[in-house]
Amino acid sequence: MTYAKVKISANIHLETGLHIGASNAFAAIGATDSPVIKDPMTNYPIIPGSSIKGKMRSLLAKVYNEKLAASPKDDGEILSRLFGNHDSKEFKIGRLIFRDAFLLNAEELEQKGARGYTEVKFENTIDRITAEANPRQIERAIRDSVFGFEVIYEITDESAEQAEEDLQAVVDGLKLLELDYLGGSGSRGYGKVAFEDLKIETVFGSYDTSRLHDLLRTEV
Amino acid sequence: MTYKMYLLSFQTAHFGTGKLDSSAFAFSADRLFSALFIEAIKMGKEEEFLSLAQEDDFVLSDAFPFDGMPFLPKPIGYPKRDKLPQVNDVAEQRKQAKKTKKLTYIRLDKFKDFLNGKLLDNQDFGKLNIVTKNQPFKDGHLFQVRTITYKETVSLYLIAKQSQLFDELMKALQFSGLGGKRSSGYGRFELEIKDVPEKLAEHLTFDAASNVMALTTALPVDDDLTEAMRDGQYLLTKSSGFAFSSSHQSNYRKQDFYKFKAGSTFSKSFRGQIADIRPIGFSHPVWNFAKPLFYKLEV
Repeated sequence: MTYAKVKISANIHLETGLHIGASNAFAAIGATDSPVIKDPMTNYPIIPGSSIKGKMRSLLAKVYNEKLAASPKDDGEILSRLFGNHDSKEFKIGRLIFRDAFLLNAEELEQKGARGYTEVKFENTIDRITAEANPRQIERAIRDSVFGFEVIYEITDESAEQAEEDLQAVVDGLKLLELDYLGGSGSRGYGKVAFEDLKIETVFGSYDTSRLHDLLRTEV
Repeated sequence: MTYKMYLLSFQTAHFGTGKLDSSAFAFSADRLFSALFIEAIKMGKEEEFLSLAQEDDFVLSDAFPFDGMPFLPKPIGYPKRDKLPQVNDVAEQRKQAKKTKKLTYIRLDKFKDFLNGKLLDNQDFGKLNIVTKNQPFKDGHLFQVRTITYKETVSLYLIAKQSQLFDELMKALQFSGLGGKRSSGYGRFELEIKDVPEKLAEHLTFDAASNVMALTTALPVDDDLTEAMRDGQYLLTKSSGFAFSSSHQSNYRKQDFYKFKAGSTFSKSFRGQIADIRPIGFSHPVWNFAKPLFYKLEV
């Protein structure tokens, strides 16, 4: 009976400002009209696990699905077993568990001279006929912020032989994320991320990760 | 009987109370038991765990906050009327009654004062927050998740009988998480096992004939039910929802199960049960843990 949990951790380094929106109940005139999601206790920006999971899944769906899936429940076997599929009997709960990524380098940013952990970017829309401007403000988590990323992969009897294939998909997902963007407004520069200090370790049970180490070093 | 205190430090969690956009502050023992049972199935130790849980002295408590010192739930029906301070002003009296009604948890060292009629303030342990999520490029796929973020010094604790298997399952659960929306970042915790403080340990019992307060959301066996209801002061809480199963294609609802909330007080202890609340026609049992641990109110 094999049962193990493997943790893949990394630091998410923001190369451009990141905007993951939050629902705003009230915005005063002149104040930011689209705020970013923040940790309610510390008020630092965070990257919710659901954003990483959703983005990674939809990116991998373009690679690993044999035919175009109209909705997540039509995903192929590899994605279903990793991310879960409420329509299938055996993969009701996926093998991956994502975590919210919290800001790690708040102090370092302060030393560098950052006045806050978010910036407000002014942008505008210009009408093509009248050339009239329509300004907007968007809040972003500032560049050079570092967030702690973590994902847990579960190994049971059924998944023991597929572990390598599964983790290869996760690593592909990270690579695709680096080539894509996280959060909103990515087509105009937001949300370029890099995964640094990628580590893999077994945190529960016994599973040999030495072969997977090489995979990480060569791929990302 | 070696009871230990299991300290769980969460950052953010979602403990639904029937809906995705509502969350309780802490979780009850049946939620933990079900999570541990699923871990046990993955390890192939479900038989072993079930027979451990069915032993008479195996008990679990609900989770309560821990901030430097353990907190206990408010005993329902206490303080007794003759212990309350005499106030002639009706407005003041109503104010005090409201304050006591809103109180949820009591610090262990103030517990005795509360029974003797002292007014206490509610403490703040964390913040409830609501986040909106969506599925892009689809209509009508907006949903909200209520989450709870704990203060840095606050963790949750529960009391259980220590055994090797139980510890192993708890350690595995750290990485699976507990509560709702686990796969997208909620409900992860760090575990610490501690001795139960002596002041608390001397009050713990699962078998006493004096006034007791239940520390677990529990239901007595049928023989004890009439007596428990006659002398007890309690609140009912509903436990229901979908049964998680990998042997059925569609999702079925569990049978609704009503229990006495933690904090209910009784004139003597009762025996709890591990009820099978499987949907009709289900191929395997669905357990709901309802075995109480008690706190002796008077020594």
